[in-house]
Amino acid sequence: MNASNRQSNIGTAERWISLALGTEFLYRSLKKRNTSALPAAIIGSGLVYRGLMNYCPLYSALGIDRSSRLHGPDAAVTIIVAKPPAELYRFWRDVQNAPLFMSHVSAVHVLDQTHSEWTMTLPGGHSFQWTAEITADEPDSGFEWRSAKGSPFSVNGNVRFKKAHGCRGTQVIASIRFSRSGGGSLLGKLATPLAKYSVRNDLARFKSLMEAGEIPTTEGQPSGRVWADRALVTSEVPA
Amino acid sequence: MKAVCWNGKNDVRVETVPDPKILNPRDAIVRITSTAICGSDLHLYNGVIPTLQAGDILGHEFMGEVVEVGHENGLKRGDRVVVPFTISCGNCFFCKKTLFSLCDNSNPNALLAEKAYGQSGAGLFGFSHMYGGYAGGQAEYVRVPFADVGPIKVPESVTDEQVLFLSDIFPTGYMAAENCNIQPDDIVAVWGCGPVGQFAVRSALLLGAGQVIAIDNVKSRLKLAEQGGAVPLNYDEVDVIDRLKVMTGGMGPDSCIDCVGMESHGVSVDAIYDRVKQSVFLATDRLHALRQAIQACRKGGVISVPGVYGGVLDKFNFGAAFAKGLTFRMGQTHVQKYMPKLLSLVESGLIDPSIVITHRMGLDEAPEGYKLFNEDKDNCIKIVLSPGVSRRAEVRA
Ligand SMILES: [Zn+2]
Ligand SMILES: [Zn+2]
Repeated sequence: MNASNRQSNIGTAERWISLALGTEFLYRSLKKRNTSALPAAIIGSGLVYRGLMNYCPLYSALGIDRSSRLHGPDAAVTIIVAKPPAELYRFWRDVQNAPLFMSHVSAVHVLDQTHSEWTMTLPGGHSFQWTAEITADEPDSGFEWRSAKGSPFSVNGNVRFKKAHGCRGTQVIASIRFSRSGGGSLLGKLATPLAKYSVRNDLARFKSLMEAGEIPTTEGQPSGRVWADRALVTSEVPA
Repeated sequence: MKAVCWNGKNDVRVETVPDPKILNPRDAIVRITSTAICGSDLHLYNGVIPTLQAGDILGHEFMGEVVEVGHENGLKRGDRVVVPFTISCGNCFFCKKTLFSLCDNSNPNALLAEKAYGQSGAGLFGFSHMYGGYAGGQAEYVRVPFADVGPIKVPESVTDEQVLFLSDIFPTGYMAAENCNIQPDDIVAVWGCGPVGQFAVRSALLLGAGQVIAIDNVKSRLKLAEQGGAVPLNYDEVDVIDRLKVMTGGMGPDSCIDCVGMESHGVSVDAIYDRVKQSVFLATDRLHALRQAIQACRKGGVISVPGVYGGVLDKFNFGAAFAKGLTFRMGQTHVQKYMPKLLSLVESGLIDPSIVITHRMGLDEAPEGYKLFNEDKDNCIKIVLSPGVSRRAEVRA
């Protein structure tokens, strides 16, 4: 896989530094009530991802269990989308649509009915590939997936589309779980909350795309920052 | 293009920045003809709103001419429009209920707001990054998302100055009054006679209030409220709560509107307490007006809050509110909901919103404008900036 080529580029020490620094950044920024810590959160998640990716061979060697006995915290997140379940299922199940609303997915290549190859691009531009396998599929109501053999990590998840009460549309529930075999490994502890944050973000993007026809953005808008590096001045009020 | 950029506390500058581009299909680009400085811009100017970044373009009250549209817009080049400060998709649960300022799909930083508030409101122009960080309209051009839902076309028969305030303060004052559920003969007390207060006074009367009492300590503002039909009450001269009791036979006003928000002034003990707390960086929202309103309001009355609050309230007498069975109505204005109706009020001549304007300046003069508005409340009620008017041109004219 592509990921294994990249792994040789970065040494063990750097991996751990990435992880430690990233966790620190992320922990501090997420912990902070004040939301001006967003840049730190982005840097943090980038570093953690980097650390995690390079950490993966070690993890893969340890974590063999990709069956239903996966454990670790379940990162289920949910959102209401004002569209019928069948319409949402069809859009999501066509995995080639994923790059339209999943912020870290840059491309999806369908291999066969149940397998697809996903290219992820992380903050900082680092990209890697993995293969997803659909393990259960119930038309108009949801499906389950997991990382296929040979992927650089072991993860599974599912997405369900339930009719919401009244005329509110659909309750979309997505969950993702990283394997934590290896006895409470750091990876399991870090990856799931990170993934949860990312899935929550992607669910909001999915909702906007389905309801409004586009995803809100300010990327590319003008600001005075273009001419001077002043982004570090914020209106933060000590709380 | 030229744009008014925030650079730090009490530091705004007019800078040359790139022109805005269409970023999403439902966007439009508007060439600004008139824009205003708002009281909530002063919150940003004074650095009391977190998550602003140096270089952010300010301004959420603006109008102009459509110069470019995305693929799916109902607008076309040349349309003259007023743009609401709330950015709303028109399709979500909240927009369908006309709760436009609570739109689910317009804040790209919704997760930030969720962390602070549980759920996120709509994106806003020229405000903090928690509300999306959208570039504002104190500029020559602005990008308007969901342009098929927000902007309202205005006829040539009305001037910019008559319709500019449909973007925020007129609907905000109107919604504040509407939230009071005014019955004939009701007495409505309005704290704060800034521009929103002025529109709240006039809207309450339009909605049938029997009497409106306007509270402030700035004489020119009280005078303008009086001209609008209110009974003025200067809190430097009288004890507000006592006076309101006397004026209402001890009952208290049927509804109370707090148009002051978190920048309350006051000389009483709790106001000083608030200021001390702020100066030692235990930042909580100052709420002198709100405390008075709760104390003064009649039993079973309504407290309507159009004034902006951002954080945790300190020394908030919830017990009084409970004991008196008060109803609280508040929030950012659902501007889109009110624009058509208020435009027709302007067209019919029932109200002329331009009465609040005290200063007209070129966009270049924005830094002086902010300073003036911040420091000279006696003379300055509302400043309108025109990108077309340069400083020099105005000197010659
Ligand atoms: Zn405003
Ligand atoms: Zn909406």
